[in-house]
Formats: sequence, C-alpha cells, structure tokens
Amino acid sequence: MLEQQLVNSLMLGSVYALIAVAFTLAIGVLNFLNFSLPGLFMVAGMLTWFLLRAHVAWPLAALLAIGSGGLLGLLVERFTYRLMSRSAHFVPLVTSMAFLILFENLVLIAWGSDLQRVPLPFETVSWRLGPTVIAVPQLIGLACAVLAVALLDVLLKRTRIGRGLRTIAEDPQTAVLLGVPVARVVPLVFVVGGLFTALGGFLFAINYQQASPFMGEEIALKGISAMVLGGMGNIWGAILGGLLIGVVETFSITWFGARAVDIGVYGLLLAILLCLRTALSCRWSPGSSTLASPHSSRSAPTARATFRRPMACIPWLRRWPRSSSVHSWDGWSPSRSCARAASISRLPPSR
Amino acid sequence: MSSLLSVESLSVRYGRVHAVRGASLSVGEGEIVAVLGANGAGKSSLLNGILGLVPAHHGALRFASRDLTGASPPQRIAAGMALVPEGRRIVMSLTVEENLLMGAYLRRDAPAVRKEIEALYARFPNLAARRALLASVLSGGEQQMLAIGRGILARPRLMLLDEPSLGLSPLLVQELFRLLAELNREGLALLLVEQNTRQALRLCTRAYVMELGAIVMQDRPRALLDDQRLVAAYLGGSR
Ligand SMILES: Nc1ncnc2c1ncn2[C@@H]1O[C@H](COP(=O)(O)OP(=O)(O)OP(=O)(O)O)[C@@H](O)[C@H]1O
Ligand SMILES: [Mg+2]
Repeated sequence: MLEQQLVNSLMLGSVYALIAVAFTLAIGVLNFLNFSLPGLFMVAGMLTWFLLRAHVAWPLAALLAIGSGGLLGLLVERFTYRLMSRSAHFVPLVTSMAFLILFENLVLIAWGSDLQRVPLPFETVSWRLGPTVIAVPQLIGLACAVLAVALLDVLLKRTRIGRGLRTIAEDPQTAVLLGVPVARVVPLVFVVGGLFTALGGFLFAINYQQASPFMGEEIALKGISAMVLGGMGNIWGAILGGLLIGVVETFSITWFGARAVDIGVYGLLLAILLCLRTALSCRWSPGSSTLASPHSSRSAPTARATFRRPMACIPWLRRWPRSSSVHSWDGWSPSRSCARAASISRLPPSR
Repeated sequence: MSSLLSVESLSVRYGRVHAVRGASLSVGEGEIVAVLGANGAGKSSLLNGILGLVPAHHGALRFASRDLTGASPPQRIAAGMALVPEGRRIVMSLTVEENLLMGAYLRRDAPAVRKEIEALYARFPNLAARRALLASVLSGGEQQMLAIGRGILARPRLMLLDEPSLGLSPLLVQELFRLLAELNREGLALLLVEQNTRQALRLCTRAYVMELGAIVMQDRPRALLDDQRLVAAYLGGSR
C-alpha cells in the first residue's frame, strides 16, 4: 500500500517537476516568470486526447503534442520576452498570462469545456513487485522526465550554448560584449521550457487518461511551488521540489481525503520555507546547477531578490524567527548564500 | 600606416545625455592608441559604441578593410575586435576556465582554443591553479588577468581596453603594462582607455584626448606630455 502510493506519487511528482524545470529555466536565465507555461501543458494534454481519439499512431501523437509545446513557446517568446527590452518589466509577465487565458479559450472554443477521457493507445503492461503494481508507461514517463532533465543539465554545464545561457543569466550585458547573440539564444529557453511542459502534459494525459481545458491552471501553482521549493533557477532543485509535492499530495489524499490536499501541499511549502528559511536546494545540493548569481544586481531589478527569497517581501518575517545569516539580503540566492557560509568568497570589485 | 580601424563621427546618446559627440578616430595595424579624458568624458561610451554595445550613430566604421557600419556586436567581434570592459565584468557563476571559453564564444576551432588556453595558463600561473574554481574567488588582479585572457581568446586583431589598471596595486600596474607591450609586440593593436595617464602615454604610439564627449586633441605622446594644459588637467602630481 505504502509502496504503491510512493510509486503513484513519484509519477505525479515527475509531471510537476517537468513544469517546475520549465519555470525555473525561465526565471534563472531570463528573470522572467513565464505564466504561459501551464497553457502549453494543457494544449499538449488536449492535443494528446484529440490525436489519440482520432486514432493517430501514438508515437506520432506524442511527437506532435510535445512538439506543439516548442512551437507555442517560440510564439510566446515573440510576443512577450522580446518586448521586454522596450517595456516596463511587468508587461511581459502580463502578456504571458494573457497567453495562458488565450490558449485556454481557444481550446474551449475548439473542443468544449468537458473533462475528456484519453483513450489508451496500448495495452497497459504492469509489473508486480509483491503487492505493488508498477505500470510500465508510468515507469517510462518517469524515466523520460529524469532523462530530459539530465540532458538539460549537460546542455547547461558542458556546452557552448549552456555557458552562453549561464552568462546571460548572470548578466546579459556581459554576454553581449562577449559576442553571444542574445536575441538568438533566448528563444531556446522558451522552446526547451515549452518542450518540458508539453512532455509533462503528454505524460499526464497518458497516465491519468484525462484531459481538460483547465488542467493547466490546476498544475500552475504546483509547478511554481515546486520551483520555489527547489530554489529558483536550480533545475535539480525543481525536480526535488516537484517530486516532494507529488508525494505530499498523494499521501494527503490517502490520509486526510481529497479536500485536504491543498492544505497539505501548501502547508508543507510554508512550513519548509519558514523552517529552513531557504529553498531545499541550498541544504541538499549546494547549487551547482543554479543558473543565476547575486552579482547580477547590475542588470536585475530588485524584484528578483524578493522572488528568490519569497518571504523577504514581508518585513517582519525577515527578523523572525532568527537571523540565520548576516549577509545582505540583496541579490540573495540560495546556493550562493550557502557557498558564502562555507567559504569566504571575495566581493566583486566595487564600481 | 594602413588603418585597421577607422571610425567617422561616432555619436552615442542615452536619452538626453549626449555622451559622445561625433568622435572620429583611427587605429593603425599593430598600433597602441590611448584615449585620455576626465571622468564622464565619454571614453567608455566611445569603446562601447565602437563594439556596437550601445546605440550609436556613426558615419562609417571600417575595420580590417571591411565596412562594419551596421554590424551587430557578434559580427564585429568575429571580425577581430575584443573588449576588455571597464570593471572587468567577469562572470562570477562560471569557473575560471569557463570564463576563458566564453572569450572564444564565437570561435569554431575548439582544438586551437584548447591550445591557446593552455598557453594562457603558462602565462598566468595564478589562473592555471584556479582553473576549476568559480571566478568569484579570484582577487582583483587575477580577475583583470582573466578579463585580458578572455579578450586574448577571442583572437582579436584589435583589443579595446577600458581602464585595465583600475584598482590594481602599482606593482601590478607595471606588470599589466608590460603584458600589454608584449601583446602588442606579438602583433595585437590596442585601443587603450586609461586614467593612468603617464603610464598610458609611455606605452602608446598616439593618443586622443576627450572632453565632454568630443575628441579635442590628438598627438604623439611626447607632444602631449609637453602640453602644459594637458599636464595640468590630467597628470597633476600623480604618477
Ligand atoms: N547607460 C547610461 N545611461 C545614461 N547615461 C549614461 C550611461 N552610460 C554613461 N552615461 C553618461 O554618459 C557620460 C559618459 O559616460 P562614460 O562612462 O562614457 O564616461 P567615461 O569617460 O568612461 O568616464 P569614467 O572615466 O568615469 O569611466 C556620463 O555623463 C554618464 O553619466
Ligand atoms: Mg569609463
């Protein structure tokens, strides 16, 4: 029973993790909360349903559903982030939210508001480990999610483009003066983010055999919470956060009933953030995959600091329960403050 | 002397601030040209304008007998310019080696880059010892070496340096200028913005003086050192 719950929750968690990775990539590299991502999740889910119902071969359906995320991500980039350089910083945020609503309504018009049943294209194979049933598609889904993130990690750490992205994450102006064609690299973040969320949408539709135009909204907050929990800009942290939320959600349902799910999930989020006063990744993986660094204060608005330290926006919480660090709050980043605590790093030259 | 870089009436504006007003200059093949001027004279804006980092208007910009008038920064860098920017702008969340690799971002010849990085490590043993560490652990002097090394890895024909001696101890400044002279002997042309006027004049072959965004003087360093007005304005008693 317990093992079964664990298996189920890992599956759910891996879907959250994929969304959280997409969110964290956009925040980490571009300092941009891309609200359209849940819309891409939903489009991919609904597209999976539509294609499978139309008896399209499932590998093709998977390709199209996941590919739609990449394409729509590119579309969103054109109309949101690209405007950022010439507008106030909240404009792209609102535009990306508008995209979420636009996608939802287009799907509503096209396919109605019903919860759709996704036909399974293949016989479900499952393994029995004692009393635990592991559905093979679940397992493949989980493996896909982990593999996708591992690939992303290699891309960021080992490749030229990855170094370019990490430079943009720290300071876009430096990236430009080193010759990084920023306008051509940035869309990559949107495409990769779109592919990740769409993969999540596809896996969700296949595993739970349901899709609805509102599935994006439901998953949005969980994805964002998972990202915050994992430390913004940290892709492995996002995975950890996603899996944890999946576990808590599943167990809350079994133990406290469906109504208590959100209390369980968000209560835990609050508890963790309050107790650790930081994101998980700070404690568990001293942030080698974190994308941004505090020195980007040159280019990043202070909103970033508030975002990274969610509670910093509530003044009295800053001093309570205890001050764990004497370092300044500006440009705070989970991994960096750990690194600072561990070793005294030199300050950048003033000026 | 054949001209490597020639800029005609370059202007840089930030909204209502007119930082550079129609500056024209040229740098010859293998030359060291200094740009002097008070704080806020527009020297950094001039360099950034030449690389295309700030919105600039210019009559014409020719580099290595190519017309780069409307070119993007990557195109200008690929053509053979590199900037060692004011304040170094090291990427702190990357390792020392990754910072060097960022200098070679536009190059496709990975094996050659590899070799040049090793050669650079031989030149800067401090960087070699810290190659796998985050660049944020470097001292100011080491960061400056890294910034210059990063510039070298772009394999430029002209290096634009914006106050490279900033914040270095007198000893390190000496070392820096020796390094610049050495790079120049290897064929690299330099366009050098410096507050360290005396040192810069000792190194350069020609110098421009900027005032309020305009180039007001250009001469051989000897002549500039003899100019009482300039000496009074920029040299003072300091060395
Ligand atoms: N991004 C910017 N936005 C608005 N004004 C700017 C910007 N950058 C520079 N300026 C203004 O342009 C003028 C020239 O600046 P610049 O940095 O080019 O001077 P500088 O000669 O390099 O000075 P310093 O020796 O202090 O480095 C200054 O008045 C400065 O305030
Ligand atoms: Mg300057």
